[in-house]
This record gives sequence, structure tokens and C-alpha cells, in this order.
Amino acid sequence: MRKIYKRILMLLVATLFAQNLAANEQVELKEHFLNKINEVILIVEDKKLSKNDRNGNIVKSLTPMFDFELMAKLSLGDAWKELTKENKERFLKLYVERMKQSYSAKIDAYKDEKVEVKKMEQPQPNRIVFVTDLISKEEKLEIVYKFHKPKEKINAKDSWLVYDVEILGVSILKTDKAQFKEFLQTKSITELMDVLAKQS
Amino acid sequence: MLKNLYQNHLLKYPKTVLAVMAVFVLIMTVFAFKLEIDASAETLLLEDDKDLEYSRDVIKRFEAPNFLVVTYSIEDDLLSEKNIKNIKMLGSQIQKIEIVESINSIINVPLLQSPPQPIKELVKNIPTLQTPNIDKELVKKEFLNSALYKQNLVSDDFKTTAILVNLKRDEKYFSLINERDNYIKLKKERVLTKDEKSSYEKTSLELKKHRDILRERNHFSITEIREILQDFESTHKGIKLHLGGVDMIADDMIEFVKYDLRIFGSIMLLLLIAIIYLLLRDVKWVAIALLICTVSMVITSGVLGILGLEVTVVSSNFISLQLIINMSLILHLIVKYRELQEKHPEETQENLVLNTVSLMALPSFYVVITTVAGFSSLVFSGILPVINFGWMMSLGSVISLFITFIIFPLSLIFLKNEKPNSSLVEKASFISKVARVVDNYRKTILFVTIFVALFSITGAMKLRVENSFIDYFKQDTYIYKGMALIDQKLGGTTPLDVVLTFKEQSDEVETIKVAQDEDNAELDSFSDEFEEKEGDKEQYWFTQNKMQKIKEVHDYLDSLEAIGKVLSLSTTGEILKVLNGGKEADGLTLALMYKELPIEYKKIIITPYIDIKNNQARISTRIIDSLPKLQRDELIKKINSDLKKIVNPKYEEYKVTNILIMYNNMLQSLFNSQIKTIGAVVLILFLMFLALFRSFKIATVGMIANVIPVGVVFGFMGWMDIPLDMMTTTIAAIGLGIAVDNTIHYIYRYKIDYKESGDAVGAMYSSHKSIGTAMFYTSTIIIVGFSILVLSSFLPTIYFGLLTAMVMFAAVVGDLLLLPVLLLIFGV
Repeated sequence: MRKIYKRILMLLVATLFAQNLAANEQVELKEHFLNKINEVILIVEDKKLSKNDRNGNIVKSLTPMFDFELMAKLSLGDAWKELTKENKERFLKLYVERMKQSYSAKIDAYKDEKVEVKKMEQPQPNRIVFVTDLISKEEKLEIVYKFHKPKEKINAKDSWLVYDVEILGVSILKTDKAQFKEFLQTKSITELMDVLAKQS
Repeated sequence: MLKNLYQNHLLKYPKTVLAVMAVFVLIMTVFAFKLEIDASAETLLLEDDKDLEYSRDVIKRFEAPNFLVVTYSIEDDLLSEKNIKNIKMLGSQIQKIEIVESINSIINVPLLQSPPQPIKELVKNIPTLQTPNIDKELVKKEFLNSALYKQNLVSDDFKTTAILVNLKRDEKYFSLINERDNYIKLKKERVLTKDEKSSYEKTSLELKKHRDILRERNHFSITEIREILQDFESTHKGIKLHLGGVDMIADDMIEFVKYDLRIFGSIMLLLLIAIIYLLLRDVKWVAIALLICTVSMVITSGVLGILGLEVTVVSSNFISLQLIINMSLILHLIVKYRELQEKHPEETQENLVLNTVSLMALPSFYVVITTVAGFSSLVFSGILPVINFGWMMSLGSVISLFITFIIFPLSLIFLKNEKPNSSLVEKASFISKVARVVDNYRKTILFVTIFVALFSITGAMKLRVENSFIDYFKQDTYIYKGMALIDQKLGGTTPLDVVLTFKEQSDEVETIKVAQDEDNAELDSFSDEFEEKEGDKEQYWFTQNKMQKIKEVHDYLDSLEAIGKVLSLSTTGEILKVLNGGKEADGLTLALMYKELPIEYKKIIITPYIDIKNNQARISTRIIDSLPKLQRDELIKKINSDLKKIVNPKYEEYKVTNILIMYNNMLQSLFNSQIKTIGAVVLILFLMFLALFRSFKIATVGMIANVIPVGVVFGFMGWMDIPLDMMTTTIAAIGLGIAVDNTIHYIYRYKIDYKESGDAVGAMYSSHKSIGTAMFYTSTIIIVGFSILVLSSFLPTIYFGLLTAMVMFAAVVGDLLLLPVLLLIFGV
């Protein structure tokens, strides 16, 4: 009987500890995330820099937080698994380049706005979701950041990495996935890469 | 037998018969008022047309409402405070009308580039012309350059703007159509049960009633809008307003048809009377003819009212036609009566009347039966209004025959046997000259006939069918001017849509096979999250692939000369591109736009062009109807074949639809059925000739003498490049139906005279003098009668009048010159 109590007690302690740990992880990540955002806002507001420099700095600052490689793979879905090694490398490069360009430009358009994390979730031990509001004078824009923690830390990257962003419920990754899927129905991966190359 | 019937019944109790007739006519008058006129577009469309069903479906799914267009033209600045105030006021006045759903004008459309701003900013607060401190120079620039508004909402010279009046969709009407169509489909598959049959009939009746109500309401509303516009114009100097739109055209067509029916029906009656008086110089005949025609008209209209047959654009001239057929019957009787009177001046009136009717009964019966055969060939056309027209004319001819043979003898019985105040022989001098021509110039006549036949055949090969709404109205009419303004400056008139369907999970679209791999384990852990989910479709629908394809089709349609404004998702894409610094908007931007755009603007720039649920995009265009030499059927064929090259059938499907297609289908099937029915008419008439005269030779001669004159019209139309439309396609049947009448009268008479004398040339001379005179009279009446239609403002009526007059002229020339020559050459 005692043994059982002891076991339950241990289990409870363990869970509590784990939850605590998880909560700590979330708080830490939130702090890191907000710091990053502030860093980016500072860059955006720095009118001394040229637009190109600004974008370059934004990319530099955000890149460690994003898992572009994973996004590239997921965006292709099952088609990724079919690619040759060379194509995989070329696609990754092109996708990452496109991401950086496209989103640095988008972020640059934001002015006088604040980011507030209004909800944090951890659906799996290695996934964290931040529901944030981008608050401007007139209204709020809901943006969801999805993080994952790779088994092994990737060089020059944070330990938690963003793998998808949802703006007002529209997932960037899913958008790309839908685009690529349809494109690949009628055309080849080489053609897709050519288009991506043209875009960047 | 017939003589007995007249002697023992009709002529014995003339007063009683007349009294019964009077009561009958009174009763029929009540029903005649129930005769309905429906010239709406709806009546002309093929009932079981798949394209029609598809088009209705597309309009429903894409929420593309019917609309009217009010044009507002000025000479000063369109964006001045005064004009803005005026347009706003006009809009709010029109908005109050029952059938109006909403109004789009320069006042309330979203301004997306005034000034250009990032899409994210724009979506938050879209300005309109009414937004305080809006920069009007920018607005003007946007209206003149925006893919959405240029040549659509404003003209290139910025002097005219369109106020779009969106009409409410009547759900009940469409659900009734659906219900009825389901029964029609079912009927094709199997025999309907008793219950089904009765509910089918009930639905059809309800649909008809509801359509009548809608039509009334539409007409009333259009009149109301016109009144608003007139009032406005009269109180605001320097502003020109016009009304346009397919619904208005349809309504105006009904009005024109109604007007023509009323005016020309009565003008023609008066004219016929005047001619009869001029030719015969006797009020008695005028009175009798008038009485017979009126009674026939009333009874026919009454029967049509009882049967529920509607007068449509196609049948709008049935009254004129029946008048003519009837008049021809009466004239032949009059001529015969006077001939007998001259020959036997001592006969009693009763005997003269009896002899007239009994001698004329058979040829008149033949005449009517062949006319009926001609018109009933229209029944094979498969097009409801044309079929109905066939029934109406057949019915009318039979009624005319009966009424004429009842009233003509009865009225004469009451009159004394007066000596005619002028002799027929004097009148016949012209016809005698014609007979001499026949006698002396046989070869010339045959030579000319061959030439005419060649002219007709070569011309007929150039014939085409065309339905141009704008060409229905004279260029100097108010309605034409309004339509031309919209057509040329604001993007065209007749709608044509291309609907693209993107195949998604069809068998034809291959899915990529997946090889299992160790490295993929990490990816697979995300797979659930990125599976396509039910609610995802809307957000991730906007792919570059689809946009690209829509753009390709859009640009292709835009490149066609005959197509005015093209609107599609690509238009919105173009605007976003401008806002995006020249780069095409990506899927994310479009998805956000779709999600965030306020519904009132979405209804203008997005929802009419996509149906995400069915994976479809609609590219909507309008055809420039006033483009000279526009060949619609060719255009549709070209679009179809070019689209086949643009669209990959493995991944996309396309379909052209909307009003242009439906009218083209209707006309093409009308044209095809005409070719088929003309063959049928000729064959039926040939068989009737054969039955009547029991001679293969005479039947052949009779047909040649009719087919060649009728062919002249088609030759003429082909050479003059007058296209066949829904009214003129019926001319062949009408022409043959009426033209054979004279032929029958002539051959019948010629045979009798030949039998009596045994002298072919002598019989020709005497036939010309007697029956030839009657033929000449009737044809003159018909030709002058139809020529009067030239005074109409409705071009189909004018063409119809001219061409029918021409057929009649050719037919009488054929009967008085060619037919006798052929009879002299081949004998009887």
C-alpha cells in the first residue's frame, strides 16, 4: 500500500516538475521572442539605414529563429521525398532566399506597431505555439507563431525554431504548400525552381 | 352537298344564324382579352437547352445579379461637387424602386489606388469618393486607369459614367423553373404518373403566372426608372441620362411588339379597306370584308386566349398575316361573284351567292389546307415560340375559311343584286397585257427564271443568322443611342462568360507516389498538421497556378476585338499588383484580401468571379454589339477552339456561357430547323398538289413556280448581307404558305377553262382575265399591306414587312408569268 502512495506521490512530483519545466521553457521562449521583435522594430524604425540595409538586418536578426529548411521541406509535402539530392539542395536554397526576401519586405511595411503575446500553448513537448496580436492605432492583427524544438540543436540557430506563421488564420506554409502542389500537378520541380529563382 | 347545306340551313335562316354568330363573337371577345403578349427573352430560349440551365446555375453560384445601367453624361467635370451630389441623389431615388437590390456608382465603389497603399493598410479602411479629404485628382486617375473601372464605370473621355442598378433575384421564379425542368427531364425518361403529371401542369401554370407577375413588375419598375430619369433631366440642364441593360432591352422589345401589333394591325386593316374600295369602288364590299375580318380576328384571338398561346416576337405579326390570308379569300369570292353576275345578269341573288360559294369552296379549301401545311411545318422547329406561331397561323387560316364562307353569303343575301358600277373587264386590261407577255416571251421568261434561280442559290449560300439586340432598333431612336453609348464607351452589351473549373481530385490528376525513407520520419511528424482540412479550402484556394490560368484566359478574351470589358479575379490581381509595387500578389496576400475585405466590396471585386466550393473561376465579358460585321457564331467557335489550346483538359475545364450563347443556340437551332422544315414544306406541298390535281406534272410545275420566287428572298438577303434573325427565319414558311394559294387558284381555273375549250393559249388568256385579276388584287393588297410595316421603329418588323412584300411580289410574278409558261410548255 505504501509503495503505491509513494509511487503516486513521485508521479505527481514528476508531473509538476515537468509542467514547471515546460512553463519555464515557454516563459523563456516568450522573453527571447519579444526581444527579437524589439530588435526588429528597432531596425525597422532606424530611418538612417537604406531600405536594403534594413531588410538585410531584419533577415540577419530573424534567421536564427526560423527553421527555413524545415519549412521548405514541409511546403513541398510528399513531393520533397521524391527529389534527388541535388534538387533538394537547390530547392532549399531557393526557398530560403525567397522566404527571407518576401518576409523582410513585409515586416518593413509595419510601422508604429506593438506585439503582444496573448496566449501560449504547448501541444507537444517539442512544440510551442504563440498567439500574438500586432497592435496598431486602429486595430489588432492576430498572428500565430509555431515553434518546434529539433532533437539536436542546429548550428547558428536558436533551440526553438519557428516553422510556420499564421496571419489571421492563414498559414504561410499551407499557402506555399497549396501553391506548390498545384504547380507540380502541371509542371516539373525544375520549372518550379526556375520560377522561384526568378522571384528572388 | 355543300349547296344543300347552304340552301337548307344557312341561307334559309340567315337572321338566326347571324344572331347565333353575334352571341358567339361576343363570348369570344371576352376570351380575346385573355390573349397574352410575351416578347421577353425567356420565351425565345430553348426549353431544354443545357446551356440555359448551366447559365442560370452560374448566375446563381457566382451571385452575379441582373442589372440595368443608367448612363450619366455631362460636359463639365464628372467629379465636381454638383455631379457627385446629382449621382448620389439619382442613386437614392432609383434605390427606392421595388426590384432594385443595390446601386454601384462612382460614389460608392471602393477606391483601391487613391492613393496607392500597402494592401494591409488598404483593407483596414477602403476609401470611396465620399471619404473626407479624398484627392479627386487621384480618384480621376484611378477611374481612368484601373483595370476594374476604366471603360466600365467611366468612359475614356471622363464625360460619361455608369450607374449600375443591380436587380433583386427572384428565388421563387428560379425554384419554379427548377421544379418544372425536373418534370421535363423525368418526362423524357419515362411516362409520368397521374400525380406527377398534374403537379407538372400545376408547376408550369404557376411558373407562367409568376413570370407574368414578374414581367409586369419589371415593366412597371423600368417605366418608373425612366420617369425618374426624365424628371431629372428636365430639372438639371446639361445632363444626359440613358437607360440600358439586357432586362431593359427585353422589356422594350415587348413594348415595341405590343405597339406594332396594335398600330399595324389596325393600320393594315384600314389600308386593306382603302385598297378594296379603290379597286372595286363599292362600299358594300368594304363593309363585308371589314365584317368578316373583324369577326375572324376576334374569334381567333379568343381561341388563342382559351388555349393560352402567347404572342411573342416571332408571332407578333400573326394578326397582319391572318388579315391578309382572310382578305385574299374574300377577294377571290368577290371576283367570282362579280364574274358570275356579269355572265348571268338575270340570276337571282340567292343563286348567284350559292354558285359563288359552291364554285369557290374547293379551291378555297385547298388554299387554306396548303397554308396550314406551310405553317404547321414550323411545328417541327422544336422552338416553342416558332411552334406556337405555326399553330396560331394554322388555326387562324381555318377560322378565316369558316367565317368567310358563313358571313360572305349571309351578308349578300340581305343585299340586292345590283349591277356593279364598273366592269371587271376594264380593270383586267393590265392583266391581259401580262397574258400577252406570257404568250409572246416564253423563252425570255424561262431565261430570266434560270438567272433568278442562280441569283437565289448563290445568295442563299451566303446567308447567316445573327441576333444583335442593338440592331433591333433604328439608329435615331433614344433607346439605340443609350445602348450605343454603353456598348461603345462602357464596355459592351451582351454578356458572355467563360467559366474555368480547376480539377482537383479527379482521376486524371496524378498524385505523387511516396517512397518511405528513414530521413522522412521528422517530416512525417508534421504531416498531420499540414494535411488539407475541410475549412482550409477558402484560404488556400488562391494559388499562382490558378491566377496564371485565369489571367491567360482573361488576356486572351481581352485581345478579341468584339469583346468589350473583361472582368475576372485577374482584374483584382492587376490592381493588387499595382499596390504591391508591380509585383504580382502572392497567394497569402490574396487569401488575406479574401478574408478581410468588407463584404460590400467583396461583392464587387471578388465573389462574382470565383466559386471556391466548386473550384471555379468566372471570366465575365460583354460583347460589343454595335461592331459592324460581328459574326457571333464564328466568334463563339473561335473562342472555343482557342480556349482549347490555352486550357489543359487534364487539369482544367472551361465552358462558355451566358446570354450570348443562349441566343446563339436558339438562332442556330432555328436556322437548322428551317433548313429541315423547308424541305418538309416543299415535300408536303408537293404531295398536296399531287393529291389535289392528281398529276405529277402539275405538282412539279406548281412547286417550281413557288420555290423559285420564295428563293429570291434568301438570295436577296444573302447578297445584301441581311442576316436571318428570329423573325425573318419564318419568312420562308410564310412565303410558301401564302404564295401557293395563288398557284392553286390559277391551276384550278386554268384546268377548268382548258377542259371547256381544249385551247391551251385561250385558257391562259381567260384564266388571266378572271382569276389573274383576283390574284393581282390580292397580291397588291398584301404587298402594300406589308410595306406599311416599314413605318415601325422596330427593325425586325421592318425587315419582316419588306421581305414578305418581296416574297409576295416574286410569287405573283411567278404565278402570272412563270406558271402559265410552264403550263403551256408541259400541258396539264
